[in-house]
Amino acid sequence: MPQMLALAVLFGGLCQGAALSSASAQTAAATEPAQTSPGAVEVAPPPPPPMASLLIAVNVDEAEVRVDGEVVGQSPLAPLELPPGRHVVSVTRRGFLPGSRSLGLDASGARLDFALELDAAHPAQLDPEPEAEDIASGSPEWYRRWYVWAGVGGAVVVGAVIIGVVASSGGGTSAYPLPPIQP
Amino acid sequence: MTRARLFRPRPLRRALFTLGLVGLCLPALSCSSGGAEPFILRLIADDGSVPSGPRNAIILNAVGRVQVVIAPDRSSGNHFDALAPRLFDGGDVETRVSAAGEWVITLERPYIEAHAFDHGTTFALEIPLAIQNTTDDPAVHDPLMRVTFQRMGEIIASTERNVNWPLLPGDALDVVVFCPDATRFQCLNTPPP
Repeated sequence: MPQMLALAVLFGGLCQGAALSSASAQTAAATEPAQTSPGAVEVAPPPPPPMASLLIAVNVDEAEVRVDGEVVGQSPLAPLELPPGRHVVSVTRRGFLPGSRSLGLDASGARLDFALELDAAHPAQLDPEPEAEDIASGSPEWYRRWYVWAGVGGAVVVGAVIIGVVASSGGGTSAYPLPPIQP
Repeated sequence: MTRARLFRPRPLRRALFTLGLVGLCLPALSCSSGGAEPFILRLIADDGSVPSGPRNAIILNAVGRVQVVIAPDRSSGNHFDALAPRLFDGGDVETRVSAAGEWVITLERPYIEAHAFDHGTTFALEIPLAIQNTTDDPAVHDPLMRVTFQRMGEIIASTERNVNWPLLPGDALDVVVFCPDATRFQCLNTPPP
C-alpha cells in the first residue's frame, strides 16, 4: 500500500509538472512579440472532422463486410470509426442471402444488425472435399478420397488373386489326381 | 437415408466400389478352393497297443518312404489307363500307373516329415486325393489297396485291404499300417541286437 501511495504521488507530481510547463509555454508565447512578417495572414489548419462509431453485428461469422463498397473486414468486427454522414453497409457470405443497408451516421454513433438468411438455391459447401495438402499433412480427411479406397481395394484384389493362384498351383497341400478305374 | 442422399455421388461411388470388390474377390476365392473337396486317405502307424495285432510300434523317423498302390481286380479286366509319371511338391510326391495297370503314389521322406502328425509312438499321414470319376459302375469291382512303409529300400511295415469303389470327394478312409515282428527294430529305427 505505501508503494501505491508513492506511485500516486509521483504520478500526480509529473502531471502537475506537465501542466506547469504547458502553462509557462503559453505565457511565453503570449509575451513574445510576433516573428512573422507584417503583411502575412496566418491561416489555422482546419480541425479534423469528428468521427462517429459504427458497430456492425452479423448473425454469422466470417461474413465479408463492406462500407461504401470497400471491404472493412469479416464478422465479427470491432466498432468502426467513420465520418458522420450517409454510408452504405453491405454484408455477404457464401451460402447466405446478402444484406445491404444505408444509414445516416451522426456523431453519437450507431449500431447495425444483420441477420443473414440461408440461400436455399446456393447452399454453402458445409462438408468440403479435402485438398491434397490435407492428405500430405496427415489430416483425418484423407480417408474420404476415393483414390485411397481404390488403392486399398486394388491391393485386396491383387492379394486375393495371388493367394488363389498360389493355392491352386500347389503352394499348399494339393490333392493328387486319382484317375478312374476302367472296367 | 433419403433418396436424394443415397444417390449423391459419394455414397453411390462407395457402393459401386464395394460391389466391384466383392465381385472380383469371389472368383479368386472360388479358384483357391480348387473345386471339389479331396478324398482323404489317412495312414496311421500302428502304436503296438492292439493286443491281437503285431504289436510293434512305428516311429516317424524310421520311415523313409511311403507307397500306396491301388490294384484293380485284374480278373475282371479292371485297370487304370496308362499314365506317365507325374511329380508334385518339388518331386517329393510321384504318381504313376504301373505296367500291371495299378495306380501308385510314392511319398518321399521330406513330404512325410512335413505333413505327418507325430504322436511319439505313432504318427498319422493324410494324403489328399482328387477323385476324377465318382460313377458307380457295377463292372468295376472294389480294388485292393496296399500300403507300405519303407526304410532304406526295405519294407518295414505294411497293410492290405479292399476299398469301396468309387471313392467319394469329402470322404476319408483310415488305414492302419502294421509292423511285423521281423522288422520291429527297424520300425523303432534302432539297430537289431
